[in-house]
Amino acid sequence: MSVPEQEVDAILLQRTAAGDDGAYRDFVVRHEAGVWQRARTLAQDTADAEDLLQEVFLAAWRAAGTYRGGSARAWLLTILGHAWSRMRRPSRQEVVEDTETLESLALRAGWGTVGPLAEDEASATIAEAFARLSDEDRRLLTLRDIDGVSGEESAEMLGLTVPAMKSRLHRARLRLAAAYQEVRDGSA
Amino acid sequence: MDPLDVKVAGLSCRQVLGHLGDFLDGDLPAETLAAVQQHLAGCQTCERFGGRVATVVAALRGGSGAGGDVPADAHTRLLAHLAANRP
Repeated sequence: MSVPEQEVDAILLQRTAAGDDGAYRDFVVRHEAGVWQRARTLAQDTADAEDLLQEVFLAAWRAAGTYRGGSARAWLLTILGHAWSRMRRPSRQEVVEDTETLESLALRAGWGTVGPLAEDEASATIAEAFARLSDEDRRLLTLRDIDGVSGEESAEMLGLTVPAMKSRLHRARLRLAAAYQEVRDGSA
Repeated sequence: MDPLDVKVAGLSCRQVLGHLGDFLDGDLPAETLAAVQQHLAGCQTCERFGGRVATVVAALRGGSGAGGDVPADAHTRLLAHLAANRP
């Protein structure tokens, strides 16, 4: 009988907390691809993604004794989210005011001109469109639409009220649709 | 008249655009949801645009495409970083 994946992670982290370095290495190998993919989604820049990868697994090692079960992947991605927020904070002068109106965003995204779109058609270029967004938009879309983090939790992680988070999410999705349209049209 | 101000089923396209985020997340109150659905049934422009935004978001949820496996040198540097900073 095979041991459930979450139990394997729990055992490896228990051994890690007890000083078994080999167990932690096994844990890293099990999860590094998932953390790397998310780091690349957020950071885009490979060097930043590698910094995140290292920071996440060092922080998780230090916190191994506090792991209380559940999805180790979700646990690691939460650590990654906090690390990403810290990494971006020093370089951000201030939160950029989002002054573009919803109507203007919608027009850029093709309101009134676009036809139906098949999902496999959208999937082909969604990564390029996503990469064109700001750090803030990518962070919020990652939380809500990729990780499926609840609205309340996302708002708390970002230091926003729920209505403010929703407003930003709506705008981020419209900017994603606009970026998708730009990629399709071959424009900058 | 601005095309966004055209009313269908009692709601303007501008109002529907404002509700689109909550509509996609299933967060609209029942009465507003019914009004938006009636507007979409009678407004091809909003129906197509909402569908497009929903499809783009669904594509993102399906996978952003970034990442792949950890490059071998990054894996090596990760293990070295952990060894050098062992808690």
